Amino acid sequence: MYEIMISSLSGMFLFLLIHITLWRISPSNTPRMSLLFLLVIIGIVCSVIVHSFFFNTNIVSIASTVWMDIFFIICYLFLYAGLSRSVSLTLLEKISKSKSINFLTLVKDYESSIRFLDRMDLMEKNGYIKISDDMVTIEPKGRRLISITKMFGRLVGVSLEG
Amino acid sequence: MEGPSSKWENERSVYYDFMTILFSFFISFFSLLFLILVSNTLRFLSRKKILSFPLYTESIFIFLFCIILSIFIYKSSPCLSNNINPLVGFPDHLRITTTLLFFAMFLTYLEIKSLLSRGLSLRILKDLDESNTPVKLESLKDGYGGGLGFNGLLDKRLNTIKKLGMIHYSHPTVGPLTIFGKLMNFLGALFREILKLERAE
Repeated sequence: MYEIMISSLSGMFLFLLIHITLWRISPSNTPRMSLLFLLVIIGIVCSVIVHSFFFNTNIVSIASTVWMDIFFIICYLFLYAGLSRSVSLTLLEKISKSKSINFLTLVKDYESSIRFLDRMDLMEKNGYIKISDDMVTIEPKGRRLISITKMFGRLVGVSLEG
Repeated sequence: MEGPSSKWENERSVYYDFMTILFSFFISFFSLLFLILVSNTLRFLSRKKILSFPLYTESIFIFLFCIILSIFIYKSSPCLSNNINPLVGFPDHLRITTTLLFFAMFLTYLEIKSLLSRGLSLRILKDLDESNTPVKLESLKDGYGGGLGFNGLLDKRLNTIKKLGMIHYSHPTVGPLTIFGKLMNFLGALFREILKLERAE
């Protein structure tokens, strides 16, 4: 078991090393999920190479290493998604600055933290909506996304609340 | 030199190894599907008022059920694979990593669930989809979240954070943070600092 753990941790170490270095060198407000996904692949490939080269070339043992990699990476991505752009966390930060805060003061911070206009711009850029003269129209691509979301929502038993 | 029978033995072994891997993946996957089915049934019964329980009870039940399924996977996967085909082996390390794979799938399910229910951009699209006509940017903002607007949504979110035990909240006074809230705030700030998030120009 220890060889699987070592191989997997080596992949995770490489993934985190590149991830933290890149994120610190060029900070960005976008989650950069495609880049993160690429780093995940690099991490898994590293674990497989370490395992095959130093320990065992048996395919079941390699699969075990990949399962462990997936576990570590999903745990990390869960944390990343939860902490990096969490609105609730931003609210906690605002509340922590003073012992208590008035609801109406917090509404203004809430509006800015969810970046309403940024989201609208991004959705327009991706072709989900069209904005002209301050009027917003949903595009067919947006309608398709909503139908797919509703379908998946029914499958996992949740409704879109926002 | 490798003879034909040894080559055949080798291919046979690779075939069974491949079957072991497939089995290990699918036992985790089907366990997750079973968990989703049970969770949806519970939610359905709760909506129909046949069973009535608060939100946190449902969450506790799902986590407990996840632990029970993990124990089931760990204990019974070698026996189940042996029942399917005695030649399909299931080494000890795979029992552990299959259980971890199930946990990873469970976390992915929770994340998708959260994205589908709390996605802010998706909610804006849903509001637009339901209106069927072009909507003014300002009224979209005011009527955000099916008419709740930012005030309603913030109130809802604060109540959720309160239920999770992170803040004291009694409208209109928000705060102070509880010890758990302070800890979460510290961890969040640390994580954001390490990755330099929210600092881009």
